[in-house]
Amino acid sequence: MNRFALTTRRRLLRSTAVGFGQLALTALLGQETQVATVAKTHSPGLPPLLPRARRIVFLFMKGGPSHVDTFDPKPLLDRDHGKPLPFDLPRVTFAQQGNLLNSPWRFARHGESGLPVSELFPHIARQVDDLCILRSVYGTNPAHGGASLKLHTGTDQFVRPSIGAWVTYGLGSDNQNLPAFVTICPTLAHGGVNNWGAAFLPAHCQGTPIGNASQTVHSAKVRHIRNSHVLQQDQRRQLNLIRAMNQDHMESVGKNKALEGRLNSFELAFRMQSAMPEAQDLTRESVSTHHLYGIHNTITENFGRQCLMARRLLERGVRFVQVTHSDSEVQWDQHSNLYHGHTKNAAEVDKPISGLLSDLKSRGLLDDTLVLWGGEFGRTPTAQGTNGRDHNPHGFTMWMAGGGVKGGYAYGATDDYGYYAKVNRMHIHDLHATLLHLLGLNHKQLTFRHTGRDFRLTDVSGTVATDIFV
Amino acid sequence: MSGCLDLTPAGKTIPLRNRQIVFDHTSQDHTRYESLRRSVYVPVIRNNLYTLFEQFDFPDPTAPTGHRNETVIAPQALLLMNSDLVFQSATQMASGLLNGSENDSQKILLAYLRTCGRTSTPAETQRALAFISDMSFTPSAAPGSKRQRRLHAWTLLCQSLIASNEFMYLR
Repeated sequence: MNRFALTTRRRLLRSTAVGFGQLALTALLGQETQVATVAKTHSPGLPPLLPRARRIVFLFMKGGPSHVDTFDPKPLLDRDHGKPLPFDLPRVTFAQQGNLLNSPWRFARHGESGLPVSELFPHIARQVDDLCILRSVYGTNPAHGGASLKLHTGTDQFVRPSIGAWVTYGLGSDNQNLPAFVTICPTLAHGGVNNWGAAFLPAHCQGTPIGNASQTVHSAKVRHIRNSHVLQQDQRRQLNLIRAMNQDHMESVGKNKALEGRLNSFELAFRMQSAMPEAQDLTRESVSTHHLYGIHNTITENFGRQCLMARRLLERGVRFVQVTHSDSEVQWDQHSNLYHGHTKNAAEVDKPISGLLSDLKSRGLLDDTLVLWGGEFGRTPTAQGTNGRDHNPHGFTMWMAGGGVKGGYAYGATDDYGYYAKVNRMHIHDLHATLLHLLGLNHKQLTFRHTGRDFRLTDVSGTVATDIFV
Repeated sequence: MSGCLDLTPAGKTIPLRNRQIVFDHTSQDHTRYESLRRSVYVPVIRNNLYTLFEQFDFPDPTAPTGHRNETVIAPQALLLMNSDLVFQSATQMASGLLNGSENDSQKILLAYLRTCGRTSTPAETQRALAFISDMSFTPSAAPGSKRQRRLHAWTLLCQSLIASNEFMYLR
């Protein structure tokens, strides 16, 4: 079926054998549900949005990388180093802040666009013409937990579906053997499982974690992915038995979403047993690919493996892949020793990220894959202690690449010192609205009825930043 | 159900020194959940939840939670299909059944009684018998003696019952 063809609810339901029940089953079986979503969220006669991206990879820098030391240079910080901030601090700050602190890193212009990148990211800098740098992102919560939940779920107060879950709900899966939403080595702190949870959305929307942040990705597995006791063909027959038992049971108690879901979760689990280890097996990649991601180097090895695994998952039709850069501490959280901490962190991710960008590009995947980079907030231009920076949710930088966004482009701006987002301010809700739009989903129409009202990822706000689209 | 439950009341929940279960700078993980005691004695270690809890929507133990999530996902199916705990319980249950003097049909009735609280219907008994004979006598079955193959077949049957919706869901 043409994915973009207009369809009405009546026509869609007529074309399926048993109407709505079949829709739910289709979703759980992991088939693409785009048509269902279009039918549900667009009135007949209204053309659906044209998707610019089919999948997302989110490179999450846990802890809050500093924007004024990476992608948002502030010359006035050099001039006014050691002086007080010439305007008011926010009413609530996370910790006590001192005077302005200049950046220990030099910035240089790169590429045809001439966009500045600091010397922390020499490899990414070479690809700046592919980056769409969002310099005016802001949130509200100055603590890791709240800010991380806000970024992942749109709220820092309640248990709500993660953005990956919303995307999966809206677009379904592009494959039959792997979950639609996978998160590689996520942190168990600061919202933990809620950052990849489905909350009230159907269970198949939930993210599947591969390991967690305290493990190296090399040893990380989806739990219980192997069985050492039972041969595969025996297990197949066992699952047929379980299916028969469950079908009898369902006939006796009546149809039920959870019971139906469970029937299919066993089938997906069975296929995942072979598909997941295959997708995770990086030995199938060439030596030059390993070098491209920095896997040969001990500093970049772990994040390089995460990024390469992400590409393999994206290639196999996983819709939303999150890659978390975090150790069992709060990795990018340099309240002190900014120079030491950010130098170490940037060195770990710079080569792998640039490898991922060029690999996606050379495989033609960057055209319809959206890369998103950033942390839960940025850091203050003012000093904490003598050599650190505090949390700053009031203005910070994230960047996108591929998937229908302008390359070599900087959107929005913070004030002269980098404290507050000022020009083309982009709240987290706006970021989410824009991300969904890029995937062809209208954030106002992607809703789910729960406790008597419709819920959205963007709550009651969100403006799409159309300026950044190609 | 498998007959392994340790009914000893009271006493220490985990055989460790005070605070040994809490992570310190060494990141040594002393947590063990191998106890076969009643679930009321299973500790909730906030930063290192029991896998079974974690996969089945245990609420965040660091905060009061008014609402528990209920999810149905493939990793839960993987746990029931592949975890040692489930396999060992099924093996214990199967050995218990095989040690009894009943005939195979009666064993199946008993297995249903223990897991589902009811006896199997004639159709269910037939289906289970067919499964057992299928698993015991085909070349793909686990290698080993006839006795071992028979135990393996009954284990897979018991595991299927443990994984079934009727066992997992309250009516």
